Amino acid sequence: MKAPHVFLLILALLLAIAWHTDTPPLPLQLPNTVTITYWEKWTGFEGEAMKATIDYFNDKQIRNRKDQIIRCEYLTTTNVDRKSLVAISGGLPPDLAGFWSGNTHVFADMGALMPLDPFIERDHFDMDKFIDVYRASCTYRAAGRTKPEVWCLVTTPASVALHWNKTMFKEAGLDPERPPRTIEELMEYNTKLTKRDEKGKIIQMGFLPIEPGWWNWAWGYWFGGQLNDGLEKLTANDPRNIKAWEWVVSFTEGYRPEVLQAFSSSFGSAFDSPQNAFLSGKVAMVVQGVWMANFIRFNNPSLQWGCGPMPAGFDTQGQPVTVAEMDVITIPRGCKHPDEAWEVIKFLNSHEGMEYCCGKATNSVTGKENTGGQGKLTAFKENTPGWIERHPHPFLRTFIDLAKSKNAHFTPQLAVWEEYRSELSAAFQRAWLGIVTPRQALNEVQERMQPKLERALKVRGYRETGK
Amino acid sequence: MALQDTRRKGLIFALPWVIGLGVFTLYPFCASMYYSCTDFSVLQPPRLIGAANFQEIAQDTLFWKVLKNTFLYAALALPAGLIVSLVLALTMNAVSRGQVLYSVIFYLPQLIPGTVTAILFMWIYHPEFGLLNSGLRPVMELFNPKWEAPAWLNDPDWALPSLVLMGLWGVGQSAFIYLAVLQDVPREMYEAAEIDGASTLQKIRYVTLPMISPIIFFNIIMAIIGAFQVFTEPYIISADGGPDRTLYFLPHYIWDHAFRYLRMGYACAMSWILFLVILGLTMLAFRLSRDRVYYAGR
Repeated sequence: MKAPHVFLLILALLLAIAWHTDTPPLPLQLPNTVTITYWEKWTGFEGEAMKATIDYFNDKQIRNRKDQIIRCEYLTTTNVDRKSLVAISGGLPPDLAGFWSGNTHVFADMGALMPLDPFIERDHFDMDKFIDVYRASCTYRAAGRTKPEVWCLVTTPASVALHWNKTMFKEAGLDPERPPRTIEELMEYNTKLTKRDEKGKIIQMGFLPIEPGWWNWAWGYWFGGQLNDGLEKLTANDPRNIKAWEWVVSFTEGYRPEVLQAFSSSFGSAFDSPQNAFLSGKVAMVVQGVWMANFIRFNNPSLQWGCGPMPAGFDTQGQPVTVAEMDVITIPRGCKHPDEAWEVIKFLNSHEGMEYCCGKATNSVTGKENTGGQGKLTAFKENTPGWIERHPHPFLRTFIDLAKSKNAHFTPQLAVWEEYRSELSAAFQRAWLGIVTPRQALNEVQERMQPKLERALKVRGYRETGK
Repeated sequence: MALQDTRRKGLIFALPWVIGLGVFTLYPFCASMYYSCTDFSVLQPPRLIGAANFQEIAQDTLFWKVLKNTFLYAALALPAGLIVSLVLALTMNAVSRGQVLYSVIFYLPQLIPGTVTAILFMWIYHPEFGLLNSGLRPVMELFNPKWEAPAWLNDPDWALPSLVLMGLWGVGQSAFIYLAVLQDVPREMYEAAEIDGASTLQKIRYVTLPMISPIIFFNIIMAIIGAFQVFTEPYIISADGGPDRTLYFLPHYIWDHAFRYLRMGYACAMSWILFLVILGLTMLAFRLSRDRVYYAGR
């Protein structure tokens, strides 16, 4: 045999071996079953809860219009948005993709998602059962479309609140059942709760706005500010945003940057570890989401804590301020089984599905009760009677009330949101480090991002009025 | 006939590589040139916009800051890596026993993935619990108890030097190459220099360095390319670009535009600028080296 032939034979053999070992087994093809794929981001106990909910869906053996059983294959996917991006552009998307409320509108603008309105109308799916902020977050008039449409529905919603350490309150002579109600009170509490050692090193703080630092871009909301006025105008340097940032930066007054730096760097790098500033008793008050109760339970179950609305710097007229974000589920354009994908979405957005995923509930097919799901609230105005009482979160109603508030904000559906947020975070850091004033920092963001937004809207042919 | 057969066989053997080069290098290379003149989000078809991306880059203040950071990193990392690896190799060369052992020890970090190295150094540099500050603090207290140890990667003034210092962790590979070539320098040249009364330093300056200059040059070229493509470590350390964006380098900025902001066209335009910068510097290095690199075969 000639050498090239031997070479080609070896190559073919190697390819065959590689194909055999690398090709994942095909999904189990049961008779009269249609299998769909679902890419989702969750890992850990949250991933298990989501997987259990999909198992619940499969247990129910819901059928499509051809009377075939729908079987959903759940696949945990890191960087799900980026991988979906490549899969959608390559024409081989999953049937369902789990995104964040903050980037769904961008995918909708690019024509990468299917609007859910035809399914909603066909099945008379009730959108009014959702809390306003979550329903609004799912709805968006995408570029090139004539009316607002629903591009996603909810998997796990959240809102954020002030968490406080009751033991630290007691030690500082404060009433552990009474959290600060105004910004001024918060500052007073902070002074009472902050401790230094004999060298001036901070060993405990009442409140540190950069902990955990996930909503630095959102501080303006607590002072009545907005990040945008409609979808065509950014308002980064709104005077109320500047006021909010000035308040936040005022926490650095009286400290050398390295003193605060040393203190904040003493927290563990992972927020869900026992070294977390709040869990380890280094910071007495933090703004955190509904999920925090899970991590308290796992890492410091003996912690005495409470939670309530974060005080605001303006008259909220009884409507507390919160950021209400959520994880969502979408049907990518070009998927093979949109009808069956919708059935999964419908189940996840039923009381049965979402209450099972987010709290303690029973699988009606197997009769098994879960251990508390993801431990979050649902997106519904009303929950099944008794569900909240059985929920593992001791303050769930606080988060539900916050989500229902008129001052609950969701991620702005801006064409350049990702870059805008990145710029706001960088600007915040510059202001925090004292490199620029909050006003300068926000002016810089405004000057940089407004032309970028205009450019993006022009490229996408987007006009808010729909003309 | 025999020649033709050999040529045919040669072509068949080379084919997998040629196909790989064409599909995975040449095509993306040419495609990126086209995309740099388009508005391309990946999800929608590209739309030709001429030189608009390049015009926007010219006015993009952050791009210039990021490019400056990249140059600054290269300017610090390049000589630091060169000097440390060379000194390491010279020291190992001077050691008469255990050279292999030292080579293995210094080469080992090269086998650790960049992600792991970054996480490891994030802990070493940790301002409060880090190994570095734990060692520094007692020393600093001896001089002045009020002195605070630097926050390293969290401090805008220290972040870049810290990253450069971290890069020295991987000098083992170039040191290994230097060591191999150092052992190839003819012994008689040192003997001749000794007869002429040359000191150790003079021997290094006038014998060793000229003799290993082609390898130094090769390492410089590789280091230029490596420094301008730095991505993994700074990205792991801070996905936002570090304190005051001092660790925000051009490859990271390109990646952000391509995959976070969905502006692949703009990212491709910046990639071409990066390519031209690397090409220009490499050519400059070749030009400057013309009279400084000694090739025995020439």
